Amino acid sequence: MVRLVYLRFRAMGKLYFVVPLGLFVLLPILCWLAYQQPGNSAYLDVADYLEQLGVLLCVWWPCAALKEDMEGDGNELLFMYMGKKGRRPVCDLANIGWYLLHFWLIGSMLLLVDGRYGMFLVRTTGQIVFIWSACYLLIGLLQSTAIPLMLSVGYFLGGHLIEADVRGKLTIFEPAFQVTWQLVQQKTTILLCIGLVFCAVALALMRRPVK
Amino acid sequence: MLEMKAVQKSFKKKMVLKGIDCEIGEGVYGLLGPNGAGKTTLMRCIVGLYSLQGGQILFDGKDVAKNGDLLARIGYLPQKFGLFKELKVYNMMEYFATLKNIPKEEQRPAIEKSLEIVNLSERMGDRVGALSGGMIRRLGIAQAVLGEPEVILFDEPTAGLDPEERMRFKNIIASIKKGRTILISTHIVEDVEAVCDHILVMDNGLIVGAGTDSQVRAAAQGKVYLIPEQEKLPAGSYIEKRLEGEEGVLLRVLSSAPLAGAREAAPTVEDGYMSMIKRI
Repeated sequence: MVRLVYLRFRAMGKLYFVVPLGLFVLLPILCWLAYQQPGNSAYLDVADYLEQLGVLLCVWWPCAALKEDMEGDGNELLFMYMGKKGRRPVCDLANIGWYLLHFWLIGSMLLLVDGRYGMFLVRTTGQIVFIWSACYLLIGLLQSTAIPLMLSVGYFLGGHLIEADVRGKLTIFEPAFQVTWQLVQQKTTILLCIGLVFCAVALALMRRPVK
Repeated sequence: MLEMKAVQKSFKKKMVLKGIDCEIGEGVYGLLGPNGAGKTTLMRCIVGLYSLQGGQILFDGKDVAKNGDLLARIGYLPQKFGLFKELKVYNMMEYFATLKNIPKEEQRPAIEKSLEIVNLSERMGDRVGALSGGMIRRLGIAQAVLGEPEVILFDEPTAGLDPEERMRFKNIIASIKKGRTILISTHIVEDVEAVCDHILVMDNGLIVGAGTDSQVRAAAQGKVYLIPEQEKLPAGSYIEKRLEGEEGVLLRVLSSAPLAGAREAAPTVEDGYMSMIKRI
């Protein structure tokens, strides 16, 4: 099974590297730039970047990995040997597990810089699980990857276009200056629970025959 | 042995398979039929991609739908094949070897053997995306024969291939057919004639005829005529071909009634097939 998971990541080709580039190159550059700015807001800016890039990139791998299963020329065979036999969930859950590992790797480096980032890491983990699961559910529901990717990114962009004051009430996002441990605990618990429900429904939908 | 008993499949209100009954034993079987006859649907039902609305598909007496493990003994090449273009040929085969539960230590020899059958051993290190259309189809065959399944299903394997690749496909079938059941779905009569021991003619969701090529040919015995173009044809006759020769333009016609001014011709498999689907 480990080999299967590895080959699925490898099958993404160049698309795989979008996430490492975003998390390990772009995010550190943005963080460094934030700390170069005058004033004391670098900590909050970095927390915002962490949320934005962490959530935005999390839908990339599931869409790239499941493209072949949903729309590729080999989808019949993949359903026959994977989807129908229930092997796909292990690979898909490994997908988010691997992503969270990447996210926490960069997050742990931020923790070394400033221990206060722990709160934001927990918050963004909840957001990642929610968005990833919502995207996964949409993939299972629509048997497509392009539309779920667009919807997920659309929700992310739409959420960040909303006024900072009401963003937290209307979406899963909120500006870093509003974040408190109490809020993180409440919201993350809810997001994780909803994410798990989405995942469970998606896993059932993934066993449906291909189109 | 594969056995189909009153197999029915519908999509919403459209009945695609209307009660297929047939038995498929060792040898190469050609599933011949026009586009939309239900060949692909039948193939997909056999491999469990579609659930049945009625009837049963049995493999060695066991219901395929209830015994998922039987799928490990069935190889399948779908109409469209070309996945994981970023992977190397060997890795793609390794992926399928893992899916087919081939033990890790047996994977390399099994993959090498399959690639050798389809003459792709030298392309093992190439990316799938770098292969030509014909090679990708051969890779699909290699995937289907991987793990030495007892039954192999090919859905339109020669569609879109050039003559050389089609010839190669026929040679591959000849090399792997021993001791196996092979079912090839196609609408190309000459492919079936060249490689198949048995022919199943399918039309409008039903098997309308079955037998060896001589038996299919016999279905048109006494019904094939060559008639000058200017002659009037009776209702119920079917023009198969227009031939230009020394005698002028002749029509190859299928007719159950004798045609005045025509001469009878020896039937081919194509004549037999047309006579079955046109109900002449």
